[in-house]
Amino acid sequence: MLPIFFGVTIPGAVRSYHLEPVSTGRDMALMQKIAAGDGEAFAELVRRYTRMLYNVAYRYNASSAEDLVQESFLRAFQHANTFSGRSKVSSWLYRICVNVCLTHQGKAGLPMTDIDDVNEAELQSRHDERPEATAERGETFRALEDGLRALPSQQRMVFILRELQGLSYGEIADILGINEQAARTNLCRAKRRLQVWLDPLIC
Amino acid sequence: MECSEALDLLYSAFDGQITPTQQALLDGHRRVCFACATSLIKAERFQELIRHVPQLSVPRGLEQRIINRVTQRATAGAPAGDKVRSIASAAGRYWRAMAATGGVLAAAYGLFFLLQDPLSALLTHRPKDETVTAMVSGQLQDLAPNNKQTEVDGASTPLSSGETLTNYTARSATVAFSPHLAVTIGSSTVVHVNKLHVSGDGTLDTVDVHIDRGSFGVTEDLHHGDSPIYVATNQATMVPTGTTFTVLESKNVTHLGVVKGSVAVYMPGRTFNVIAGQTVQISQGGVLREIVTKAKRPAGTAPVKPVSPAN
Repeated sequence: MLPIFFGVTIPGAVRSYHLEPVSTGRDMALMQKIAAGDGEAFAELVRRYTRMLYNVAYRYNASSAEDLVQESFLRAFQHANTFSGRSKVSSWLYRICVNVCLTHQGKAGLPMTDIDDVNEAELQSRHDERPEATAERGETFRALEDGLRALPSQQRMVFILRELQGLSYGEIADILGINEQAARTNLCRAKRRLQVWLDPLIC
Repeated sequence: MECSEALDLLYSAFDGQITPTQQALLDGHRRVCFACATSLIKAERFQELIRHVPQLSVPRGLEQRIINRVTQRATAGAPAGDKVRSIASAAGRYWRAMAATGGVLAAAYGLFFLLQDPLSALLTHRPKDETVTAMVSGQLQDLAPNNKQTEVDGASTPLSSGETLTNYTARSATVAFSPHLAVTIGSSTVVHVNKLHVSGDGTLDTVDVHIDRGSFGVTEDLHHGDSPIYVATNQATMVPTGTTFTVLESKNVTHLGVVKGSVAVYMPGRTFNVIAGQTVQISQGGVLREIVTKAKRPAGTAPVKPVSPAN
């Protein structure tokens, strides 16, 4: 109890799947205050949800993660009056962040190397650069992030939301505007591709 | 049952979406199909790996930067200036409240330390497996995750994950993490230690640092061909594959010079090796320049091809 009382965090602690609270009347009240221009309420929103959005944005595009999160909160602030309360605040923010990420990807024209399109020579070269001798966990996580960024956008986002953020298929379907079966299929494809990508590192 | 169906069923099982009948089919297939047994085991290991992907911490100051940016953007776009003032003052009140709360907690924290010495190790943010005793030559400021600031001046000092080392002096400082790995932190350089990990046998197996700004050099005697150090900038991540090298982060461009051995560079969408004698400049969009400074490129090695951001 004491470490918790004193706010101590243990680096490397196991991730929680439930970082953000379920939407409540308090959330609704918070959003109404933000829509009315209450800066303190907006600061509270930022404090509660920055980590959640940062994790999504970073896994989607590490180099622009901070900008993506800032843009997401800016849009949330500008459109707070459109929050109807039919979904959780977290789902609403996820939806904004996903749109910002996808829009950014399109605008920036970032290289979209598809894992399946990488030719054999390239794969061999990548394999040589990642010898099994360096396959420590940190290296494997980095390889996972590399592989993740080479997935098609929708597969990547479904994988992030389901496997790394722990959302239900229903929530993912709602956020991405697809049906649950499509979410499952996307996840299955993403995992197959990533498993192949990481094969040299999974002993 | 086809092997691919077995894999799909296994993924469903990870999701808790498998029926008892499907589970029986899957178990039966695993018993008789040696062809996909390895694949299924790897799928389980892959799932286990995913389960341990850590949640990232928010970069220091990001929340305040968001509030500031929204304040600025709202100023530019919204007629309601009172909204803007409200956000700024709310942020100010928040930080003042945090400071006051922090002061009270700090006092309680100090008292607790005096009274509860045996628990002090737990409360100093220094987990044993994420702490090394480094030999420092030169002067550095060490900022811990709990904002505790320490001046290190030519001494052995414990370093843990999450700490930030800053060299405010005009001279470089050297930090030896182990007898085999030393880094040089240049003047006006800020280095964040993302992760340190010491294995059960006391071997340092991960040093993951991010160069926030300035220059950073690595000297390492590699063992068995693998390296514990990862050096990241905003543009790329570099891993030695045999080596002495320097990294300079300046104006959103990373300058990497390899003196000895080679360095693997990981960027979104591509990876490549830089060998001794090569210097490369890396921007957000790709490699800007490649300069062969000393050695000739060995036969059979490919040059670093410049790529355009839109490639």
